[in-house]
Amino acid sequence: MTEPRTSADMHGRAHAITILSQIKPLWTLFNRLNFAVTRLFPSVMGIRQLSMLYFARWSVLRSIPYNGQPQVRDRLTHPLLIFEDHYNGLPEPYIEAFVRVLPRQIWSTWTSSYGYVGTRSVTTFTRQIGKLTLPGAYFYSAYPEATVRMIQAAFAVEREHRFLVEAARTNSPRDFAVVYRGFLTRRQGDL
Amino acid sequence: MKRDRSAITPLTILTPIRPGEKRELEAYVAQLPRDEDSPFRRLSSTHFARWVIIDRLASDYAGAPFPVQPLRMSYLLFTSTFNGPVGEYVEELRVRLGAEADAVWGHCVNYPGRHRPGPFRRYLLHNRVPVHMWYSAYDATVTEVRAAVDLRRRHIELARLVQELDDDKDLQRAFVEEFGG
Repeated sequence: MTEPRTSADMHGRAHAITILSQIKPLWTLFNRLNFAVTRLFPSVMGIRQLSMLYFARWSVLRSIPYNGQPQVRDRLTHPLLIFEDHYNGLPEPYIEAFVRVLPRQIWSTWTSSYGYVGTRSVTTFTRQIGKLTLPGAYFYSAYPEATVRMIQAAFAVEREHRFLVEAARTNSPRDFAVVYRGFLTRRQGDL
Repeated sequence: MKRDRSAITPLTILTPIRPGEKRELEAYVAQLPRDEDSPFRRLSSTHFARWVIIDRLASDYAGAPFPVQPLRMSYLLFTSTFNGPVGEYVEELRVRLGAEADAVWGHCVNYPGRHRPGPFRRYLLHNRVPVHMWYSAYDATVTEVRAAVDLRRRHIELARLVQELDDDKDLQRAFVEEFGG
């Protein structure tokens, strides 16, 4: 089980997770290569299959910016990998879906980090993620009641909407009814 | 990544918290409203925003690096997802987040305050963490997302309503009443 997470990790239906891990020596080269390949060929990420995910970001931090006294320099023995994503749904089903749908993405993200346990056991992986997860202090969503699926469905409806309005303006009632019912049939999964 | 004005951009900023002020900062951030009264509501380009306090590196797991080197400072991690260029967004933070920006980053080492635009901008950008990889499920502004979601809701309501209409004229009239045409 993941450790209990605060309500500061959620806003409406949206959740956030921030995972901080330490990267093994020389493995930042692997991260760099992985990021470069993914930027060139975004489809290799495969992450679009995860329909609960709004946004995700990956950063490698080699040193912490210095701002002068009274900051004490923290020299990082190991670079840090900061992973953060925003998703809808509950944390545990989300992590389980991540493991089931994107084991390769999980491997390419965390195999460079100390303590990576693989994805053979969802329980072990979830426990590990729980250890590396930072609790939020504050989380805001501009549309807390909208899930990713709702948003994508809304854009699909919107794309057809203008044609419906035009059809309502120019077609006879009978022709409009045909157009409108066709819309309902096509978009029944989005409504 | 696209660089047009509506492109969705991730920003990550890591600032050191002044020694002894972590709890006060934590308490302040925790009481900030999130819904209609959230200070981020004033930044209309913000999709998501988040503050996280980092005060330790996890070491209580199998395979953790040894020896453990604890952090000597606590840090405030700010992440935001918004539309537009970073420079303009940092200015938005200064102007629209306003007093809350001072109340939060005022607990961080050598934060210059929002009344000094240049130093404010330089401070946040100096502490910016590069985002090396990024995923976005959609590419739209907050206004576009809200409008589309609202339009879908209205279509669902209309679809329920017209289920009971047999006459095509009534169907067309109901649609025009709801959406024009």
